[in-house]
Amino acid sequence: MSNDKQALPGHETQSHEMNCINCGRFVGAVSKCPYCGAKVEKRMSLVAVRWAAVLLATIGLFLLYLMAKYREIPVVKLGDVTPTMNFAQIRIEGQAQSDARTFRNGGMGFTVSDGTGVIMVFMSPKQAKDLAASDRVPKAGDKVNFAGGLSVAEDEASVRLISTKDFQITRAPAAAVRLANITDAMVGKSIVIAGKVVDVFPPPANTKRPYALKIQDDSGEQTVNFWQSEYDQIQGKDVLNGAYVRLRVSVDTYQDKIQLKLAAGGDLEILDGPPTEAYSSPGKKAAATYAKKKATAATPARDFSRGRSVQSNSLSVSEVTTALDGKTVRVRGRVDSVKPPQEGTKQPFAVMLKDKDAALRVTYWSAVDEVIPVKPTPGTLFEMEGVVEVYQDTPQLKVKSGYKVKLVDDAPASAPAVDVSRAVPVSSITAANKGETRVVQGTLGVPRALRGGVAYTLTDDSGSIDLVLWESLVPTDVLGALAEGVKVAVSGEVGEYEGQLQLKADRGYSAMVIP
Amino acid sequence: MSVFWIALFATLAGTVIASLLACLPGLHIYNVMGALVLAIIALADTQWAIAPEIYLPMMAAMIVGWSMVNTIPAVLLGTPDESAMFTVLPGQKYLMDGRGFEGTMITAVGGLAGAFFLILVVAPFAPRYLPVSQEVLKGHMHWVLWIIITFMLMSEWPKGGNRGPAGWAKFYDAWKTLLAGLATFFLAGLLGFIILTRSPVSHEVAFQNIMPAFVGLFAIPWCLLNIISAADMPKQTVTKSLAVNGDIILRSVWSGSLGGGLAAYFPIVTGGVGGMLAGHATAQRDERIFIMGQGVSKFIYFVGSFILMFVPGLHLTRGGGAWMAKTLYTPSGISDYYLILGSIAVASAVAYLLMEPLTKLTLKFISRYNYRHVSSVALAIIILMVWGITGWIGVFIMAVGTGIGLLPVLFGSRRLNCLGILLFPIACNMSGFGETITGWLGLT
Repeated sequence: MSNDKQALPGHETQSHEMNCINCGRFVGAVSKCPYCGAKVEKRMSLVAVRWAAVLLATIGLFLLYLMAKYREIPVVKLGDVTPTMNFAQIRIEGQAQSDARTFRNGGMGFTVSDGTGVIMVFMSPKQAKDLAASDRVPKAGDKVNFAGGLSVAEDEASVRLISTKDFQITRAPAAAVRLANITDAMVGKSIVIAGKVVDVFPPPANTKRPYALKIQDDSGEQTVNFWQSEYDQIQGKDVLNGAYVRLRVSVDTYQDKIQLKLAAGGDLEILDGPPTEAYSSPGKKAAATYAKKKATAATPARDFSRGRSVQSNSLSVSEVTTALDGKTVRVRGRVDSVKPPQEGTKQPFAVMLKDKDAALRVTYWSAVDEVIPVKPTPGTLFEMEGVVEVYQDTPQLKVKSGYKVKLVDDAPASAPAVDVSRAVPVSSITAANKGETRVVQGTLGVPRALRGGVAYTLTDDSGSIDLVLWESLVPTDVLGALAEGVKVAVSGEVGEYEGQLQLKADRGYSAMVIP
Repeated sequence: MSVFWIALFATLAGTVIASLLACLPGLHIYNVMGALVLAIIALADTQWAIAPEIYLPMMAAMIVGWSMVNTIPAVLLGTPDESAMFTVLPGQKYLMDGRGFEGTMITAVGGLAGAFFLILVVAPFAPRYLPVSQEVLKGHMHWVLWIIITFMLMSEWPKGGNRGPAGWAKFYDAWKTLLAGLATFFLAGLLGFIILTRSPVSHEVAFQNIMPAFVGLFAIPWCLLNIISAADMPKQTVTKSLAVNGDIILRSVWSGSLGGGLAAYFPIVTGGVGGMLAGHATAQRDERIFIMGQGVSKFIYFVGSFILMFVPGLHLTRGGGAWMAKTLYTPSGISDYYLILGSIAVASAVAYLLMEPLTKLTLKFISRYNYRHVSSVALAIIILMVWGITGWIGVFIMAVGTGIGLLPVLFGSRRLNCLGILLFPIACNMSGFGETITGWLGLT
């Protein structure tokens, strides 16, 4: 080191290998001077540490990798989840409480319960696709076992599925049921139905409506609803119309009516001919009885966020009374008004839910509003879950989680907008009335499927006219109620097509079945 | 006692505690806040339950105090956290010139300027404009992350290979640092995949499962290097003035706020990465601007990311502090926003005032005690803390992280590459192919 350049002022006290031998500047641990590029000789210790670090990094990482790979992810009861478990990878063994629903981005979510708590499970679009492809989309009642990444925030927790590979699912037994035998008691359960597809109504363009598949068996007729994503999964969907099919559907209610929902395209099987299988074999009967008993005997699911019992079925607005103070309930009602907090205040959002004459004030904070996927707007039907509080002898609902505010129906609840007293005889409608609105009443003839709608011949004592109902204008439930031989009152605009007069049903609830 | 006084006392207590702890080399405030969160949860259902009006301002003050005062060990003891890494070379230069006090105080002035910028410029406009920008940008985060990663890796420059005869030796000399940088990034990325997919840390303390790796990657290598290299510190001079003026402060705020802002707003992008991007974007050459800009950047990164959670209409969770606070409290409305802004302003002022005495105290301390011994004590504290929270598994992860963290230090590449631990797996996950990679690795 006799050739070493003398250290610069202030650097004299450093060990000689800390200074550059060429320019004398302090260079620390590096082996090449960042100022002049000269090579700096180091004593053996740093070289040893350098290669020890390489060794430690690679061997240690490999060992850690092996450890992680062969480590079992711990099974955690949802009731035991604590905030310190945020970001933990846990295994959940439980039962799906709801059918998985598809989000706008293609992802999927469902709630799962393990008897000690309930949690929302999220899946990425790719995972949702994988599960759909392998017919493992969870439905209410299915047993599931999977690993997920836990996310805990204040009083809310959710899980993000880590991988679809080890997502295990055991389907809940589903009883085969005749269409006429489907009752309210089956709501929330999965059933198997079979019959002939009478018609398939695709959703009108630019609407959020589902597909409606009309199925018929020897006992009656029902409509099954599903979304585009499920339709795309159906094998042989091009020959669906008129085909004999067997479906596994979940029973739900929509506007106080039974609704059948197809959760996955794979649950629809096209048969070679009319179904021959007995509807209720002894085995299936036993399975259904077992499932029913189990459902009755099971303890109510504990809501994760509040730790109180939650009723599985929603209450109407009028059923929420002061006696429920402190209880967590689920309420369904029409939104009458929405009052956001005034700027600069710490007020909550206030939503008025109405059901006939009964009203209920629902409040939640802005942070809750942030995560509500579809915000409440006046006229829409919503289901909200929260804690009942009594203020000035009046019950009100305090919602703690945005995930507990769900849109049930975005169509305003209006009574069928057909004023029967304005009905005119069909024969009185002439070409001179084109473009005018007329109300008629009569009996429907054979339906004719149109692209995006359906046409009937409407006959009264004076004559007949073609009635056209477009799916883009008339709600699915109205269309579903119409059939050959049904007596209806309809409000529509007079038009002409290929020289024939026709009545185009107005937008909304413009057709009404007359008992 | 009214909420005002409760919040004020909590702020003062948080600032003082954090400022004192910030002087300990290698100790990150998020680790301390982790312990605080555990205590708050433990007391939640007892008569000693701590109200949000106490812990929220205290948490804000702790982040402020630490991001301001942690400059002391970063410059004087050479144990910076990742976000302060750029300060180290110029900072160490100041230290070796006997101007450690001045270097520290210039960075603190940067922190104070950052506080003014955050409170007076950003905060009034944030509720109006940030929710809009978030709505626009939220679908684009994944490719922004990939661009940042690409820039980070491609902007590492060869530090040798320009002299001597052609051949493998020259080739190795040129590529040595680049290869070390790439190896660091991908090894750290692999470690990140393991921890984020199948962390061996107990699920009971999963909220701290990344902490041992971070300690290993950033804190331990500096302690070890200080112990091994044993550089002697020249006599330090305490000055009564700083060689800065208004122009330097404004230019520092410009570069620092850009870097800190990027880091605070974009997920996974940390202060160091933000500083690197802003450094390239603003091309400020003055050493003082560089040091002060890092003070601004660090403050805006740590404190700004915490504020985002409270911005009305935004509620973005960024940074470890916000994630921990979120497990305890969901902000609602403008009142919480004012509470946090007020706490930050008060804490910034107090932390700055504490800077000078604490710097002098530290200088006195390290002139009396051997630099190597100080680093040894710091190392022991860090290891004990990791062991205490995450157990032996955490210590093992920390050891692996240390091996990776030593690579850039010993091979002369950027320590920023260690951030591959989060950048790589999360960019893959956000792009939708993270699960494919973990599948290849047999982790899922």
